[in-house]
Amino acid sequence: MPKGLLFFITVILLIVTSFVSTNIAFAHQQKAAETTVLFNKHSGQLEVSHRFYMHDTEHAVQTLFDKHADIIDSEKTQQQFADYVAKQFLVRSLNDKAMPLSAVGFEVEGKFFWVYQETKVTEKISGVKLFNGALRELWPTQINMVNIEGKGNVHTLYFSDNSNWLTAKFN
Amino acid sequence: MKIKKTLMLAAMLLPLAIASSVNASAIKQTKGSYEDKFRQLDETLPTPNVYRNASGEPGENYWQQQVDYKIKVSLDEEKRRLSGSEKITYKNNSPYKLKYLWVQLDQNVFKEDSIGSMTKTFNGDSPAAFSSDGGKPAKLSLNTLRRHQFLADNDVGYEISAIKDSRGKALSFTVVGTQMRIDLPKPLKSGSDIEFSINFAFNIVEEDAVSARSGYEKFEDGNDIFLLAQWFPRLHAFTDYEGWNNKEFLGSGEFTLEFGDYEVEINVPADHIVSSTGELANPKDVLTKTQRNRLKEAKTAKRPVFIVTEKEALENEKEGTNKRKTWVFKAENVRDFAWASSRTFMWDAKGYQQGGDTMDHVMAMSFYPVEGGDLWKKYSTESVIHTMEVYSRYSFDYPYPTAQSVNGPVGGMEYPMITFNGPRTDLQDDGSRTYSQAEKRFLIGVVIHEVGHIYFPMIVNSDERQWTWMDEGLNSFLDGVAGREWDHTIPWGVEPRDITGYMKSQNQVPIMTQSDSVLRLGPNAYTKPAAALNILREVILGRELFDFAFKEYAERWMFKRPTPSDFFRTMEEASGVDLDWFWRGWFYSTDHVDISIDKVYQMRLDTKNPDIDFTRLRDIENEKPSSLFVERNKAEGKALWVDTNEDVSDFYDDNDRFTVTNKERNSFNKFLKGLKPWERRVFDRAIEEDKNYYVLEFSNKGGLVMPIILELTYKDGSKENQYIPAEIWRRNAKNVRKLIVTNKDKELASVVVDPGWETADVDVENNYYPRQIIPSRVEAYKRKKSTAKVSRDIMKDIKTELKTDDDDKEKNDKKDK
Repeated sequence: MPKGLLFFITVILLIVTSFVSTNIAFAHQQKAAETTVLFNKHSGQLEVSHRFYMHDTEHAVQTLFDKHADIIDSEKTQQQFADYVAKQFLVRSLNDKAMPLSAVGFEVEGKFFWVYQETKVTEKISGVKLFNGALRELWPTQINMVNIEGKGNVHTLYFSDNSNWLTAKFN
Repeated sequence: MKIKKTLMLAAMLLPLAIASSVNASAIKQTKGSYEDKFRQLDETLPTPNVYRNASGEPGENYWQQQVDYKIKVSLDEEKRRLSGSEKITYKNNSPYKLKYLWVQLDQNVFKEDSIGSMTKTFNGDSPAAFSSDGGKPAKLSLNTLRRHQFLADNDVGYEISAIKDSRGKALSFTVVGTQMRIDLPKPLKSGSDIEFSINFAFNIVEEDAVSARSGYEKFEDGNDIFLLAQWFPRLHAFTDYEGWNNKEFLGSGEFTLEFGDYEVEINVPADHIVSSTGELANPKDVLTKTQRNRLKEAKTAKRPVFIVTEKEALENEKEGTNKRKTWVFKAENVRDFAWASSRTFMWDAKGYQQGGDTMDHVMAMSFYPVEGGDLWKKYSTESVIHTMEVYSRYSFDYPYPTAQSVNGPVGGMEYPMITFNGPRTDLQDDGSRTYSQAEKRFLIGVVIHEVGHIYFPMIVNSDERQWTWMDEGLNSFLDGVAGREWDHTIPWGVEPRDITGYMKSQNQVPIMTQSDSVLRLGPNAYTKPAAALNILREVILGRELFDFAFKEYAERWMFKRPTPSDFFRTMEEASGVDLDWFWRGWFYSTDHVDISIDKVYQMRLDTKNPDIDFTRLRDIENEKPSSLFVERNKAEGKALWVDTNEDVSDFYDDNDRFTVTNKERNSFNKFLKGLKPWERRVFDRAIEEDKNYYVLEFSNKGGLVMPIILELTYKDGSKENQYIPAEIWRRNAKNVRKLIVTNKDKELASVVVDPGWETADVDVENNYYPRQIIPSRVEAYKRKKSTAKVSRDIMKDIKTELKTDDDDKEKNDKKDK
């Protein structure tokens, strides 16, 4: 076999939760999150809002932290989860300069759990590189959709399967 | 506020701005780029015919096949294997003769050489976090490996041992993936039937290993729960709209089947409890007298009665037996048959007195292991009954004698009279079982959803293999209705605002996409259609028209096979409202809703009377700010020539260009005389009323045409709502103007489009005139946080002593000293 065709495969160790079905006809546990990256023209901030289904996060925190973790009633768990998301969502400039985000907060709204982050944008930006690994290490079927707004048409990036850093370039 | 004032006699519409995009159809717009968003769906929908008519009803010659099954099946618990034989009676109600029959062999999807298996793509299972270069290794999850190992270690798929006609003569057959063609000895004529038998067996898959819609679940004590679905060779649908429905089972697109009567003998270990589609036909053979009495008691009980208690189930689990029992179930007019079996099951039941002619009494039942705990004891069977109460109001009376909810390894799946639901309690260290609030919502929600599926698509038999949305979308809409009637404080259902993120995203396909090809099944087939129906009901048709039309659809297609066009046509003709634009936008396109109010300007009617109009013109001129040049000259004290030479003057120093002469007055009189009597009356009245004329300019940035919901706020503080139907966009789908006339004292201050967020408009910022700075989500959160009471240190503050007037006095006294 030519050397170049040899790939290494790593097995990731997962704690398998009781539910692994992906074909279920009822998608209560959606395993899907939505993130908006907004270039706020009024404030000059880059604002990030992550929207998770409560039911996803509820299962997730029990695996990520401990089995008594409670995203609905425990502010500690909510904070832990927000910190976890912050570690999983990274922004870089097109020339790979890290753009660290600062935490703004989190909240529960109906069936959703929101996590907020922001950073000041000082330079003119013609694109961004993003990484969104939230819950994907946990669930292979997790899909994170990211809409990038405030720079012309909406740009959409999907983080699923093995996708790493994805790039959006603005016109 | 800035509302531009313009003097005009009448509003003039600009020539229509021309919209873009040309459809790839026989009808082509080759001049300009006008797009007719209201074009009737004529050539998009199938041509009406004698089988399904133009109103969306079953046509005068509507037909569907009937397939009856008599099945004997045996569960080998040790080998986790099912073997059986089925006698099938196929009745050809079609006008055509059939040389062969097609059968679905869904178990074959697990075979290595199935199209489903061979086309599974590998993109890695998880991100290689924090790596920016492409050279990092792909990752493989243990779940993926577990599936591979299970399928490598087990022979999966059907073993078909014999197919014979009623005289025992072998019939030739050809297996094509998940399908099998059986060649008939002679063509089956229209109106005739044929009997034949199939012997089959297969090894049951482990649900958690392969992620299927059925299978077994291993418990640590050696017991299993068996959920059996897609477990017998089932006839493919043969239809008027597609002939044989030969779409390979790939795993995602579900099933389309024929109605028929079933008699199924299920042979299992004697200590198993069986839950199944249909009604138990031999209770005396399989139930104890106590159990039969409890069932009787349950019929009229206020709360569920245990047929098998927790204690009995636990005892049952320990014992074990070599004996066997055969449970016989009969079901009439069902499109499928599923069952579950385990010695871990406890079983509760409660009768639902439905009344009416269809099915006076229904037995609602739940089956679950001890892991179900209080969650199942309290809420499963009650949720089953609640679903029937609500759904029947919006469709038809539940037509079957039983409705069941079974706990096992499947998250949520539906079959006639029986549903599989996953939520469970957690065992705590102290031995108690608890569940979270979200798990409770999940249980109630999933039971409502799956029992709802017994209506759609188990009775309203839409083709799941082609159109997931027809059952999932309709059912997600209705489960939201039922959920809100359970407890409206729980966030059930789909609000229009929930789907704006998805609808403005770039990577999506129209709802009208075949089930296996849909990208992002959740938002595409569940959430978006549910939100669309919600909007159709609450915003466009109103509840009365929508509910009437929806019920009409359900009643028309009960026990029949509707296609999307039948739904679209029925909703339109029963509501009396043209909805082609709505289906086109929401179901056939990927447009989103984004209506912007771009400009508002005020117009005032010219009186034509120079003594009035010229004065107004002078006022307007005088209201303009004067020149900065002139102002600075004044400030510098520059003297004007005309002021220093007052002795030189003429007519024009006393009369400006707005001075009225008899020339203008004569012209005005001539104008009045030239008016016809009716014109004069209209003119005089308009002058007298002196109303405000506002022109509102809108643009449609999302492409999806929708009604414009307006909130008008007046300078006196009052508000008024206006509803402009979507048809305003019919001649120009990009830009429209609307004239709004108000009384003289009702001066417009501001306008908001869709103030209640009812239309899934993705950009709220352009919904305001004058524009407002709408705080972004993050900004709004920050503001809220700073005023929220959570920042108070109440533990410290609570120690604060209460001050009295004396305290203050004392303090002041001290100060004075």
